Amino acid sequence: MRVSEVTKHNTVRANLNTNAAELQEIQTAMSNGKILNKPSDDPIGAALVQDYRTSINAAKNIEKNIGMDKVWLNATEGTIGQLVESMMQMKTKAMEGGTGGASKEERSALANEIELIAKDFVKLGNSKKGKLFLFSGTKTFTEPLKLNGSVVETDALYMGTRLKADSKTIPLDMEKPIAGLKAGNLVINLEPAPDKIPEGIKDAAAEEAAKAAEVAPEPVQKLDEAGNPIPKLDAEGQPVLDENGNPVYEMEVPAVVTAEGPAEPAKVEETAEEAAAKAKANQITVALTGQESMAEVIELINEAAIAQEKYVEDVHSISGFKSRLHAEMGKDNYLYIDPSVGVKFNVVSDDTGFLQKMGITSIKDGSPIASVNDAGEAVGVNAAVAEPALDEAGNPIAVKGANEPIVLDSDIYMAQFKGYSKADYTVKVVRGGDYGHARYVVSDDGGESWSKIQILNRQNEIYNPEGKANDKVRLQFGVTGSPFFREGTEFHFEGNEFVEYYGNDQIKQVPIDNGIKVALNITAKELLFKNPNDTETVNTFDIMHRLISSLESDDEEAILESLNEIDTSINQLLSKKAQVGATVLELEDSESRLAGDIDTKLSEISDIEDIDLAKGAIDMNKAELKHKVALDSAARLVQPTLINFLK
Amino acid sequence: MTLNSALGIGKLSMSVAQTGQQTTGHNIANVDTEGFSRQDMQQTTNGPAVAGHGGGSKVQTVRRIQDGFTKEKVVGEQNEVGTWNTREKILTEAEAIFTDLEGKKLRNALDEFWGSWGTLAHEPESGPMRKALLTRSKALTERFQLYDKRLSGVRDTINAKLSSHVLQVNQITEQIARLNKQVEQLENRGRVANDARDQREALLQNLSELVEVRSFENERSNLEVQIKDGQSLVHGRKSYEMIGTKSAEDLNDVQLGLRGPNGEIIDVTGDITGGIMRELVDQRDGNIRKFHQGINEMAKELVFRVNAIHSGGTGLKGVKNSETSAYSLNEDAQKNPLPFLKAGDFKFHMLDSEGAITDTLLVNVDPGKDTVKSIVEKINRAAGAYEKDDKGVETLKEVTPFKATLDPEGSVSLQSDMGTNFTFAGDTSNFFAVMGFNSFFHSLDGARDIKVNQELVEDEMKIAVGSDLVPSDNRIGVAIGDLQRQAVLSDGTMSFDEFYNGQTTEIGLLVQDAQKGAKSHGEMLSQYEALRDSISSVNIDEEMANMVKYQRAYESSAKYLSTVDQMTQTVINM
Repeated sequence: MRVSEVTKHNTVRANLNTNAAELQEIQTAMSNGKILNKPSDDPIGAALVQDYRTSINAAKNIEKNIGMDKVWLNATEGTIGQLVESMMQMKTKAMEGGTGGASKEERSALANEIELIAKDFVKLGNSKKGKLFLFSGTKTFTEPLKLNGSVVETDALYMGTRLKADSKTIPLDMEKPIAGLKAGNLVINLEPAPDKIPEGIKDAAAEEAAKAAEVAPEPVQKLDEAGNPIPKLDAEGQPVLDENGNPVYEMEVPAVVTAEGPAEPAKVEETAEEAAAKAKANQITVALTGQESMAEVIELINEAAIAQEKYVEDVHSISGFKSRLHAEMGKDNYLYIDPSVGVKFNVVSDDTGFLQKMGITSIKDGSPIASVNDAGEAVGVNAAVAEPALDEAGNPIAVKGANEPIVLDSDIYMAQFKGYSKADYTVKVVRGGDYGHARYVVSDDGGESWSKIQILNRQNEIYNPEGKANDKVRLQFGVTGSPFFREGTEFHFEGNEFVEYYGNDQIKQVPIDNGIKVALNITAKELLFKNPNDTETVNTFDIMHRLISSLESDDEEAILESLNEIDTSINQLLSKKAQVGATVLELEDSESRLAGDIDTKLSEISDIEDIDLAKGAIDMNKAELKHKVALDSAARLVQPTLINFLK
Repeated sequence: MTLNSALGIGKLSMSVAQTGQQTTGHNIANVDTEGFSRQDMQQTTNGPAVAGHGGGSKVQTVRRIQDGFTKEKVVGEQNEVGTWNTREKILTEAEAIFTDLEGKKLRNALDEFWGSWGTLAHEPESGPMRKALLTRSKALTERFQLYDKRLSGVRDTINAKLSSHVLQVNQITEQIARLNKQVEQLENRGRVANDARDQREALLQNLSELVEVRSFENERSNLEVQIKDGQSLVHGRKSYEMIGTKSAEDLNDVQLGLRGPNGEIIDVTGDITGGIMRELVDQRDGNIRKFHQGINEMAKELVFRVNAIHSGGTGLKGVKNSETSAYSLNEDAQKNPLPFLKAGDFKFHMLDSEGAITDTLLVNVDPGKDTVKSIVEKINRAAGAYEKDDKGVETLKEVTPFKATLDPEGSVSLQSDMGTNFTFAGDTSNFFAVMGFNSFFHSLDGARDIKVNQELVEDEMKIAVGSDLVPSDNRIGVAIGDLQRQAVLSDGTMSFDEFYNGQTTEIGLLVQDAQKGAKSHGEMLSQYEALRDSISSVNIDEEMANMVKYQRAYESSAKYLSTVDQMTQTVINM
C-alpha cells in the first residue's frame, strides 16, 4: 500500500492521541483515587453509589435522632422509677397503718403523709424533659395531671316550649329594617295551662305549691238526668252494697282543664260572643308597619305581652313585668320566643310575614309551626297555625314539643361546676326567679329521686339527696346582674376524677430505620389510670384517695384491702417501665445495626468507585512506556525523507 | 528528418520535463492542503507528423489522482463521525449536570430534605429543627432550579450552535455555487479545473458533515446539492439560503427552514436525514428534553405529594382568619372539573376566640365532576353562608362566620369573621393541594419555579408536622418522611430515589454509547482516509524521486539540445 505524508502524520497523531488519552485517564484516577468520576464511567455503579450514599445519609440522620430519643426514653424510665419508689413508700405507710396496734392518731398522721406523697405523685407525673411534658401524649405543652379544681361548663336543659329562628341575625342587622316585612298584624294566642311539677319532689314548699297548683277534686256522686245519684250495679244488675248495707253510688272525678284537655264541655252553652271575648283576652296582637327593625319587633312583641298582663310588675321576670311570652335575641344570634312555663302558645294569624321570614320552628321537631301562603293566609301545619288544628275528636292538638326537654344555649346562664365527684348530678330549677328567689332540687341518680328544695344562689354547694355535702362539687354562675332562671331549667354535671388527665391518648411513633417506627411516649393515662378493657390496671389516684379516707376514718379492713390495689398499681408502672426499657434496647440494637450498615455501604462504595492503587500504578507504567515508545517510533517515522539523502 | 525537427523534439521534451517538474512542485507545495488530490502529468509520444520517426513527447494532461469510491466512503464516514462526536459532546455536557458521585447535588439535597422531616418527626415542637428543614428545603429547591437552568443552558447551546451552523451551511453553498460557475467556465474553454474541483469536493465534504446531502454532477459539470428531491441547496450556479426559524412549540428553539426559488420558506427540519445539525435537533428534542421533563416530573410530583400531606395538617401557628389559594384558575379551567382530585373529603375546624374547636366543616368531593365553583358552593353550604331574600333567591351573606369566594382572578379565598377562626383539618381529596392551600412548596412549572411557601419561610412554626395544633403530634411529618420510600413516580412504579437513579444510569449509558460510537466511527474514518490518502495524497519521497526524474529528463533534454546545436554548428562550419 502506498503511504503518503498525510497518512503518516495522521497515524502518528492518532496513536499519540490514544496513548495520551489513556495516560490522562489513569492519571486522573490515580490523582483522585477514583475510577468512577462520571456516570458514563460505570452507569450502573453510579446509581448504586448514589443509593449507598442515600442509605448512609439516612443512617447517620437516624443515629442522631436515636440519640435524642434515648435521652427522652431515659428520662421517662427514670421518672417511672421514681413513681414506683413513691408507690413503695406508700405501701410501707399503708402497712404501718394496717397493723392492728396503730392508733387513730397515728393513722391520721399517716393519712397526711400519704396526701403529701399523692401531691408529689402529681408533680412527678407532670415531669418535663426540656420544655416538654413527658406523659401528656402528644399534647406536650399541656400539663398532663391536674388536681381537680377546674371549672367545667355545663349543659343546661329547659322544660318548656321555646321557639328558635332558623337563621341568624347578626348584630349589625339588628337596627336595620327587616327586608320583606309587610304591614299587618301578628296575632298570638297565649292560653294558660296548669303547671307541672317534676315528679318525686316532695318538700314542704313544693308540696304547698303543688297543692295550690293541682287541687285534686274530691270525687262526687254521679247523677242521672233527673239529678239522682246512680247506684252502682253488679253484673246481675243488682245494686252493690257496702259493708254497712248501703248502696254504693257511681263516683266520678270532674274534668280538669289541661293543656291537652278539650274545651270545657260544661260551657257548651256559652255564646259565641263570650267565647270570642275570652279568646281575645288570651291573644296578643302585634301591629307592624313593615318598616321595623329586628330590635323594634322584639320590643313590640314583649310590650304586647306585658300589656296583656296589664303591666303588673314582677321582679322575678326577665323584663321586670309579668308576661306570658318573652322574645329575645340569643347570644348565638338566633331569635328566641319563650312562652312562660304553663302557657300554651300558638299563632292565630300572621300577615306581616315576620314569622315566615324568621323561619320560626320549634327546636324539638324542627318543622315550621306556621307558614303563610302568598295570599297572606296561614297554611295549617299543626297546632300553632291560624286556627288551632283539631284531632279526630275535635280537640285542639297541643304545640308539639311542649313540655319536652329542649337544649338551651348554656351561654345564657354560664353555669359552671367546680370540683370532683364520680357521680353525675342533675340540678333542676323548680321555681323560676333570680338569685336568692329561684329554688332548685338535686338528683344524683338521673332524676329518680330528688333532694329537698334549696335556694339558688350565685354559688351553690351541691348536696346529694341525703343532704350530705358530697365530694366538693359547687355550681356557680358567671353571669352578673340579676338573670332570670326559668322554671324547669336543668344543669348537668358529669362526674369526674380526683385527678384528671389533660393530655391525649396519642402515642408518638417515630421512624428509626427504613420505615420501622417505635412508640416513644408513655401517657400518664396508661401509667396511672384504669383502662376499662384491662383488669390489670387501676386508677392509682382512686387508691390514694380511698387509702387516705380509710386512714382518716380509722377503717383497718379497708386499709389492708388497699394494699392489694397498691401492688396492682406498682405492677402497672413496672410493666410500662419494662416497655420503655425494651424500646431503648430496640433503639440501641438499631443503632449498632446502622453503624454496621454504614461501614458495609462505605466499603461497597469504595469497591465500586475507588481505584486499585497497585493495579493503577502498573497500568500507569505500562501506559507511560507505551507512550514513550510511540513518541520514539513516531520521531523516526516522520523525520527521514529523501531530502536528507539528496545533495 | 531535419535538424530543425530534432531541435523541436528537444524543445518539447524540455517543456514536458518542465511541466512535470511544475506538477511535482505543485504537489509538494500542497502536501498539507486539505482536500488536495495529488496531480500527475501524463505524457505521451508526439505522434509522427508525416511518417517514420517519432516526434518526441508531449504533455497529454495533468490529471488528479483519485478514486471516487473511497472519496464517497470518506464523505459518508465523515458524516457519521460528525454525528457521533456531536452526540458525545452534547451528552457529556448533560452528564456533567448529573455527575454527583461526591453526593453534593440534587440527590444529596433530597436525602437531607427527607432526613429533616425524619428529625422533625422526632421533635415536632422544635423551632431550630423547623428552621433546619426550611434551609434544607430551600437548598433542595435551588438544586432543582439549577438543574433546570443547566439543562436549559444545554438547550441554549444547541440552539446557538444550530444558528451558527446555518450560517456555515450558507457560506459553503454559496462557495459551491461560485465554484460551479468557475468549473463550467474553465472546462468550457477546454482548460482543466482540477483545483476548483478539489475545492468543491472539500466543501461538499464539510457540508455533508453538517447536513447529510445528496449530490451529483450534472451535464454542465455543475455540482447539484439537495437535501432531498426538490429541496436544493445548490442548483447550477445558484445557492438557496438556509434560515433558522422559531419553533412553534417553544420560541427559543431553532427550526431549520429553506428559502425556495420563489422566496417562500419551507420547513426542512424533518427532511434532514443526517449530519451534525440533525443530531443537534435530535438531541435537543430527544434526550435533553426527556431529561428536562424527567427533572420536572420529579419536582412536580414532590411538590404535589408533599403538599397533599402537608395541607391537611396544621402548624403550631395554624390558626387563620383568611387565606387565599396560591394557584388561580383561568376561565376555561374554572369550567372544567378540577384535576388530580380523589374521592374523599376535606375539613376545616372552626375555632372560637379562645382557640377551642366549635365546629367542623366537612366537604365531600366528587372527582371528575366537581369544578372549583361547585366546591366553593359546597363549602358555603357546609358553613351556612347563604341567606334567602323574600323572593327565595339565595345570596352569600356579607358577614358570616365562614365563607369561601372565587376571586375574579380565579383564586379561592376563605374568610372567617365574627370572632371565628379556622384551621385546615385534613384532606383526603387533594383539593387543598390542587388549589395550593396550606401548602409546603409552590410550583406551577416544576423545577423552574419550585420554591418553599413564603409564609412558612417567614414563620417556621406554621409548618404542619401534626394536626389540630397539638405540639408533639408528628403524624404529618412521619407521613412526609415516608414518601422517600414510596413508589409515586412513573405511574406509581418508582420512588424519587429510583427515578433519579434511572436518570443517572440512563445518561451514563447514553454517554458510553456515544463514546463508543464516536470512537469506532473515528477509527473507520481514519481507515477510509488512509485508503483515500494512499491514492490521492502526496508522498514527499515520491515527489523527490519525481523531482530527480524530471531534473534528469530536463538535463538530458538540454544536453540533447546542445548536442543538436553542436551538430547545427558543425553544419554551419562546414
